[in-house]
Amino acid sequence: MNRDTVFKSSVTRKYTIGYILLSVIAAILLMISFCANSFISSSYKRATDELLELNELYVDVEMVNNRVNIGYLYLRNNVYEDYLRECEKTRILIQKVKEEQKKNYTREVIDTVCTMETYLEKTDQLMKKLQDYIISTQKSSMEYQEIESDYRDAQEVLKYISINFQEVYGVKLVTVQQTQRNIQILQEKITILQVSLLILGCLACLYYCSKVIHGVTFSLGKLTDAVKNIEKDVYQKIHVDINSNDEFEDFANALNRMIDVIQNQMYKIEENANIKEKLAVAEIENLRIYGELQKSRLTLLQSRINPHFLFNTLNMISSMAHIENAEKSAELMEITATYLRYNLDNLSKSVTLKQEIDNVKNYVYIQQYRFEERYQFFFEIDDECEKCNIPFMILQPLVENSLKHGLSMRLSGGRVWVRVLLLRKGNGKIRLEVEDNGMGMTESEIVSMKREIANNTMQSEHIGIRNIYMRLKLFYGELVDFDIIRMKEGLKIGITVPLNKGGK
Amino acid sequence: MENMNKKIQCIALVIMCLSILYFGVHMESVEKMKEKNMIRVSVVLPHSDDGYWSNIEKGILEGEADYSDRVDVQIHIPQLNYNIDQMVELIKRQTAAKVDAIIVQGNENKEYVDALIGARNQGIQIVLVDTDILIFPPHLYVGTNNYEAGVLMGEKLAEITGGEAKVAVLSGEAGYANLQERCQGLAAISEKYPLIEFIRLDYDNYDGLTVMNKYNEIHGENPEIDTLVCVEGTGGQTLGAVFKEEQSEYQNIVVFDITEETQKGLKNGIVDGIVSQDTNQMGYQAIKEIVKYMDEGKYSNNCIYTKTGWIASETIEEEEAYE
Repeated sequence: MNRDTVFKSSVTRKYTIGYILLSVIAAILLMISFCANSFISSSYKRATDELLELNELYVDVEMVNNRVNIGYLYLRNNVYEDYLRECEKTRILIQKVKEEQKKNYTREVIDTVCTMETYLEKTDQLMKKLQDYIISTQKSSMEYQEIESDYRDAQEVLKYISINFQEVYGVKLVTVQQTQRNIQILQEKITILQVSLLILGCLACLYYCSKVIHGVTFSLGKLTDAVKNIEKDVYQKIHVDINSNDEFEDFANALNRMIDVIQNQMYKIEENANIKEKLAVAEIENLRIYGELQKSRLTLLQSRINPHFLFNTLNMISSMAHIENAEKSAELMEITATYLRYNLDNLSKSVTLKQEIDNVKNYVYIQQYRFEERYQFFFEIDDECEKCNIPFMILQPLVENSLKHGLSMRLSGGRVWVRVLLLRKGNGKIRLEVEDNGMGMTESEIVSMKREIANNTMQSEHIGIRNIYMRLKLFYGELVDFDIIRMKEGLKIGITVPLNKGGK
Repeated sequence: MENMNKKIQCIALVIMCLSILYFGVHMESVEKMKEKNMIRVSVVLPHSDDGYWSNIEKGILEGEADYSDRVDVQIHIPQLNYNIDQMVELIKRQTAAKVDAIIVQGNENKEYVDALIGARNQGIQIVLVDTDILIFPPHLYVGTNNYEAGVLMGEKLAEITGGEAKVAVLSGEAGYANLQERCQGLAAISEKYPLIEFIRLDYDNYDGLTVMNKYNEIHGENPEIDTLVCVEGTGGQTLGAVFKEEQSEYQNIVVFDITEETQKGLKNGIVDGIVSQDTNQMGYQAIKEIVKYMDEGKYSNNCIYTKTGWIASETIEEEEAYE
């Protein structure tokens, strides 16, 4: 139990104070009852004791007088000792009563005991004279007369004692009666006081307990309300305000701190999510800008060819060739013109695989005119894929690259395979492959080339490949798979794209 | 809540203190403790009247009230009015009880004086009120200067009668010095007014029946008497109560002591004037001097005279207003 626990108010302490309050009230009531009982019994005792004591004193005086009478009437010598003994006893009692009278003065009692003292003085004188008279040999009548006079005096005083005692008895009875009345009044007042105290005490306890209970329920209610509100809306700015200086206040403070911590963490999470969202938007924007850049580059490349001029020229030549009956030249010119038209019409568009393959075939046809039997071209096309959309000019540049870089050094026997394969039906993928049996590339060259394609740092000699790759990425996103495979003889470029007839 | 705890604790404490205080005070009042070593004073009055000795008693009780922490007074009255034997008995009883002081009226009766001497020999203070005992050893007298009161009465009688009257004097009882002194003072004016003649002196024994008996007896035996002087209170009281003006056999009646009856007589015209005594002060001064003696061992003076006055029909209303 530390200092804080001792001095801090708690619910237990509050209830304990209530019990202590009850105990104090009960103790006060008990104390008052005890004191009142003690006082009442002592009052009764005092009133009756005094009377009994005076009665005893009166009996003692009577006993003394009895001895005096015996001595006087029968002149007995032996009675003197008894007389002295009785006197001594009476004097002790007189002294005791006088001492008590100093504390509890009553005029009648004092007068009576003083009269008794006077009586004893007179009887002493009488008894001494009687002794002398009994002992003396010559008994004179004068001595006798003196004794007789003293005896009369003593009896007269005894009469006063009797009168006084009657008065005292009367007074004491009145006093006892008065005491009884006073005690009765006192008892009534004490009863009223006790009942009043009891009522007051009960009211105080009730008030205190109701305050404590109200405090507890009020605190609990506040806490419950706060928890319910937080359940409804965790972002609500709620602080439980309890100043009960007990465990509820501690609990409320802890709850407030907990609400603060939770709300702070929620705000941080939300802020992080916003930041991430903004970052994603920025990234998309970056990709869009990059795409636009590539498109502009492509446009730039295509613009270099000046295709319209070339296309018109070829058409004119083809017409001329027909006029001059040069059919082969005319056919070649037409194919070339178709090839060029394809290039011009589909710029920046997606095309069907069939269109792309036809274009490749046109290109191959032109190249076969050029190289005759030097190169052979093989097409393996899955008909189901023909209607699929792909970006424009994907396969032809690959075939051109095979001729330009792979088979350029080969004077005969050069082969190029163009494959369009459906990898899985339904939601499957399409595999586009252009393979040659040319000079190929070393592994390190392939790795270097792949890195350049991925980092967009390719040199101008590989710009065609990089262009294809970037356009595929723009068209299919991350769903495109671009492979460069070193073959036993030659090189194979493989592209896997989703089977999406409508395109992206 | 903490404040509330403190408040409740304070209230409980206050209630407890008040209870204890109330209880203590109440117990104290019930206890009614008296002071130790009280001065026990016994008063032996000659009789219980309504006006004179009752006023002296009242003065004594006022003195007791003023010195309540020191003086305890007990009043004793004989069963028979002015019964010397009973008064002697009472004095002896107080002597046997060894009281501190006895207040009594003086009387020249031997047994009475012997009883007082016996008490004085035991160290008891003897205070005589109203009437002194000239032969008594040094003591305290508190009361009227009776000789001067007699002279005053004579002077006023001369005024009323024009210096010429045949006077009968009705006194209380033989052997009372105060009455003797009053008579002496009254008689002294005959030197100044020779035509005022004192015909006879009678005693009413402080008894109304005797007063009436003497009233008739005087008139019957001495019809020439035109003025009746009562030098003791009972005479005036009786005449004031019984007679109307037209019934009076005497031209002039002068009495002692102002009481309800004497005032009534004065209003009715049966009484021509009253010599008043300050009886209340007699009782009060007696107590005051007893306390002084206990404190200082001596009185202010062994003879303390209280005031006397003259009340006539012209001044009765003023006197009543004063009272």
